[in-house]
Amino acid sequence: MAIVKMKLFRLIALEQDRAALLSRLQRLGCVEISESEGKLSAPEWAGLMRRETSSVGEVKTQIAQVTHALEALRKYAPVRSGLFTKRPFMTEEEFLDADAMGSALEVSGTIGDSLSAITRLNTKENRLSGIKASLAPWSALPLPLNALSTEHVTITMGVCPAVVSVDAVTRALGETAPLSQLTLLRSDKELHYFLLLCHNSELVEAEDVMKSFAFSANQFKELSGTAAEEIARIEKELVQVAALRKTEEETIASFGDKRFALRHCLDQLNQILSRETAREHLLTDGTIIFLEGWAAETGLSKLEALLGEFSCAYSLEDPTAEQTPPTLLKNPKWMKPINMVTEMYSLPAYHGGIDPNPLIFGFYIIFFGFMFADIGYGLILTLICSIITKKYHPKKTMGYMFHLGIYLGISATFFGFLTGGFFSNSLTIIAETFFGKEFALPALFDPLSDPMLVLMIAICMGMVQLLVGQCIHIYVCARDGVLLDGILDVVPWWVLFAGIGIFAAMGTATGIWVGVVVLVLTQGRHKKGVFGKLFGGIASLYDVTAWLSDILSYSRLMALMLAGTVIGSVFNILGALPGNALVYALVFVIGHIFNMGINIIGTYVHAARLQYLEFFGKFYKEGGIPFRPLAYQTKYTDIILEEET
Amino acid sequence: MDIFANAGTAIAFLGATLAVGMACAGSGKGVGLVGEAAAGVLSEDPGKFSQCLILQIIPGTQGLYGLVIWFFAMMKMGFFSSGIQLMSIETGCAFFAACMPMAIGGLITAIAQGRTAAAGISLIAKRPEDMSKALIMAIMVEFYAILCLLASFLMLNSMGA
Repeated sequence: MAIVKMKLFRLIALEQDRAALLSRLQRLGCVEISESEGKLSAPEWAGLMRRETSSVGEVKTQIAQVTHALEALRKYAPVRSGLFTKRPFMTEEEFLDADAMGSALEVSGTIGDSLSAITRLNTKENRLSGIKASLAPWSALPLPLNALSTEHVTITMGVCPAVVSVDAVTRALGETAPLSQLTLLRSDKELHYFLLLCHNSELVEAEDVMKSFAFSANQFKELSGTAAEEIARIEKELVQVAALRKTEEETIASFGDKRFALRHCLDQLNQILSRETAREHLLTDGTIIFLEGWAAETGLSKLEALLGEFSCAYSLEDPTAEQTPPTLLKNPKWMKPINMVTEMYSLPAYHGGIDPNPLIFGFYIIFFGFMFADIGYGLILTLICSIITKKYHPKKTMGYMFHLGIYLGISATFFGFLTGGFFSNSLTIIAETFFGKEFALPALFDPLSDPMLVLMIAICMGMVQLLVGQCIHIYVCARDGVLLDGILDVVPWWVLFAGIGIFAAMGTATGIWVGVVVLVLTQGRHKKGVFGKLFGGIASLYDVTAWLSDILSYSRLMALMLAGTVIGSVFNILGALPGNALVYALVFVIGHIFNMGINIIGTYVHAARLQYLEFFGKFYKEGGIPFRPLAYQTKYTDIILEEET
Repeated sequence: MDIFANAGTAIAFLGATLAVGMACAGSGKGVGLVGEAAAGVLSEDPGKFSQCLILQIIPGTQGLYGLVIWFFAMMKMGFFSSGIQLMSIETGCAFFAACMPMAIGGLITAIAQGRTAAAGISLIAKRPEDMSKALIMAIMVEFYAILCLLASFLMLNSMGA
């Protein structure tokens, strides 16, 4: 329940142990290896050491190959899969199996070959289709395409734009070159297709005339048959291409059962990649390696035991105030889901920060439940999240999300009992419409008939949270040795609040004035000079508005609670209007799914916002860098780590 | 004097009409804005369809809230049960005023939310993993539509016509 202490870790070991050492560190998962770039800029280091080389590029190529193979499988051997995929458990030995990786890489190589064959076939198909399309207009011509001309006559195939008048061309040609003959084979929207026969003695004249009508010759030198023959041949070839492509596709599809092996391989490759990336951060002189990084205190004993097995020298030092170690939060398992709320904001700074998870855990869940208060909605949320968590055991953020959902659902159900809401007022409406009876769930307070009470509760909950935030501020100050500052930051405000309370209860304003004086005397203490201190104190009175807006901000608790109830009840009333049970059921289902959806998102965001702006504003120091140790990070599999004996 | 006896009803109708009309106009514009942005992204990456769809429907809620208020106002006027009752100009104006938060707020927040969601679309085009952030930014606008809905609803709820 705290920020884990970090040690600055430096290690010198033998180059020959490097691979084994990195694997073991990865397995341990409590060391983050940082960039040693800065060291090399110092001449004494640069003289001795150089950067370690690595095979990152090679591994990335393999990863790309396997990824493409998986994509190809998704395309050619599709399987129905839900939103979540189950991740199989494997022992570490199974996971690291090199033979499995080798054969998976072979499979992905074969799939890769088939993919490039398909690409080649597609290119060929495009080329053939292009030729076929250009031949189509000439299909009526019974002459071979390449041997058109005779000894005395030149035969040309060509086109003119459709705007040219056929009569005009024929006439002009007849006048200039009477020994020529022009035949119109076909016309379409854009072009006229002509066959031009011309005696060689008039060839130049004929060409000049035709050029003036924008005539351009089509040439098919490489084709020997008639257009119709060539088209038939190309069609045959296209069928062959399609058949070949189908074979390749079937080859790929036949690997459908290797899908998991490929995913496993991808996970293996990614572990190698993170080791190789770490290797790039090492310095070496050929016989020894130097490593610098951060070690989490929780794994120190294991780390030292591990290092004892290698011939190496290492040091573990406490970080100085100038260094910024990464932040790792340690919470009990049941509290971890709240981490997703913290991570969405920012981790606490290593120096001067405080682990917010235990502090916001209760508030977040209560606020969410208060805004989402409904027995029906709460139960559904709990049920869905429980099923998903149990069946698919999702990891990391997704896992946190659904685990948190269970808590939120329970909280909403609890508040639902207080407000007497079950799918808003559905029971009341059903009893009234279909049974003609009056019925209402017992409730402590009804948000619709008594919104002022809900507002008061919301504001009170807000004030409690803000006061807790101030107490945490005092605690943090005490921990960091500036207890007096903490008390002086907070207590004068309490004097003012007490004064306001007394004024509200008894009507004497003396308390308020005492509070104001205390604030003016204390809040400017960090400023220089008497006037600076005085003005700083007076300026702090302006913070009263900040307090006011902080407190009023909690009215959103009431607003969202009412909004959910109102929209839900409108759907209930709307559905009951025709007095038909079937219509009611339909409107009920659609309406409440919509209402739940929009409310879950809205409530989630606003419950989080109250933590970030109002609560954290009182004590939180953010800006921590997340701790990213060299560790197993899998996407498709779950490794069961056995304890070393 | 007949015309004054009926004017109240007409004013109340006008309010209800504006609540649904303006809110739906805003939603239509907002959803349209997101749709334009989404179509651009989908031309590059059809796989993002579901993410885009979620962002696109978000500005649609204001229209629905408008309909809720219209429905509620009409119900209070007796449109669905006993038939329309003639009401005084004062009552009519009160109905009109009660519908205004939803009409004005619905129109403007839907367009603003549409812009935010459209920007969110360009965010997920580059960083699909930041979908939740895009969603949150758009939902922040929703809050003000909800406040309008509440204000209109509570005012209408207090009327006993």
